[in-house]
Amino acid sequence: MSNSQAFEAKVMALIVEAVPAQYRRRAITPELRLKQDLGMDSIAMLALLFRFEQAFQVDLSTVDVGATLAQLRTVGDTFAVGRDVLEKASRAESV
Amino acid sequence: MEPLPARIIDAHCHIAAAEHVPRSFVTGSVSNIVAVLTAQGIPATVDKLTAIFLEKMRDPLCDDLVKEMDQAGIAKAFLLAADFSYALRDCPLTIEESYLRHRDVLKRHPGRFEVFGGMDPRWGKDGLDLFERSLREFGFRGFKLYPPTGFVPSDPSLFPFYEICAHYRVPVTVHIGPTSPALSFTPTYPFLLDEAARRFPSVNFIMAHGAVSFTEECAMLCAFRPNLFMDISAFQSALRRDGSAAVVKAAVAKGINHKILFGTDWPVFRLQGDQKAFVEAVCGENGPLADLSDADRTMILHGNAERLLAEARCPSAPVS
Repeated sequence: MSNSQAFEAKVMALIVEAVPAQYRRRAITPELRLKQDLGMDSIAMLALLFRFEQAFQVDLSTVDVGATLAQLRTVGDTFAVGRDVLEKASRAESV
Repeated sequence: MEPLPARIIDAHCHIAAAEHVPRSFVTGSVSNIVAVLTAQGIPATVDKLTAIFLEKMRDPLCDDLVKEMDQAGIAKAFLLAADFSYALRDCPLTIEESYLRHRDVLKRHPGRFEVFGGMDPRWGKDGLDLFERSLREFGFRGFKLYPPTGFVPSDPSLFPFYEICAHYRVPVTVHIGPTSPALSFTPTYPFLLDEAARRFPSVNFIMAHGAVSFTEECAMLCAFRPNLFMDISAFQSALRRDGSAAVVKAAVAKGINHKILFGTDWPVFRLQGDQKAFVEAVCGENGPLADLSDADRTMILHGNAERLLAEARCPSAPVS
């Protein structure tokens, strides 16, 4: 498994943990929308970000959480946004 | 998705700037979210969530709000200036300073806002003088009451304020229902407004959040008191609960749509979405206004607000 695949698998596990049970009966694929298709409300999205912070040992204070939340529309977005958050956190650490 | 309605008035907004809000009010509000996250084993703290919320409170001149209004098709918004003075002591601005900041926003964005000045009745004559000055000199167009700070809206100490409202024919927005746990919920019951509405039949009162909190009571009051209205602000919390804001949908199916006003409660729900997304959620095919006739939607989205504003008899807003 490549680093990219491992990263996506880890993020996917966080999403599965946050999705209400009735939405987990279908396969979770990148194009699914977090709110409409997977029933994630605003607090679930916030929880997802905090779980991401925990799982990847990053500091969310290095990113604009509000703007980050606004970018999270689909499962695929969480991969892209997650990578962006890791990059920003790493840059902030090295300064 | 249907195109956004051509004209919308948002009857419930606040300036998104921390200087107008006591810190204890914000920390109280986020503590309920912390409770949810902590129960899930997520180590969120009040400080961290407060910092996240305050990131969205950096728009003191309402430039961001105007941009979002433009994207959402919102022509005008009511800015409500709450007075926390007697309940919470950690608001950076005094109520007079807050009024002046609101006046600055009116000057900066002519035609885009109407300001409702808030005042705690315990200010007495000083409060009356400043409130009347706001209508006469600052271009304000309404009165904002925040009972969770410790008074009921039918208290006789408020009657002189209502007399001013009757004189200038401006509406009064009264908060209904729970709010930050830093404040009292007891004075927020809608029937506590009834006596004031009966005594001042020429003053129009808008029950803020009435389509979300104590909806049955608010709808009943709207149906039987000609001068009582309610807004749908905080519908976002209902959307979060069930995806379609069923409680708002029920409110707009009670035959009182000539009494209901659209409102978003900006910036309270900024972490949940932008103004365009909220308008789309309300007006979309699964939204609470989806089943209404065009005439009813028009009344809620702008007609009722325009009718209330048209009655005002006070000098024009200051132009920059």
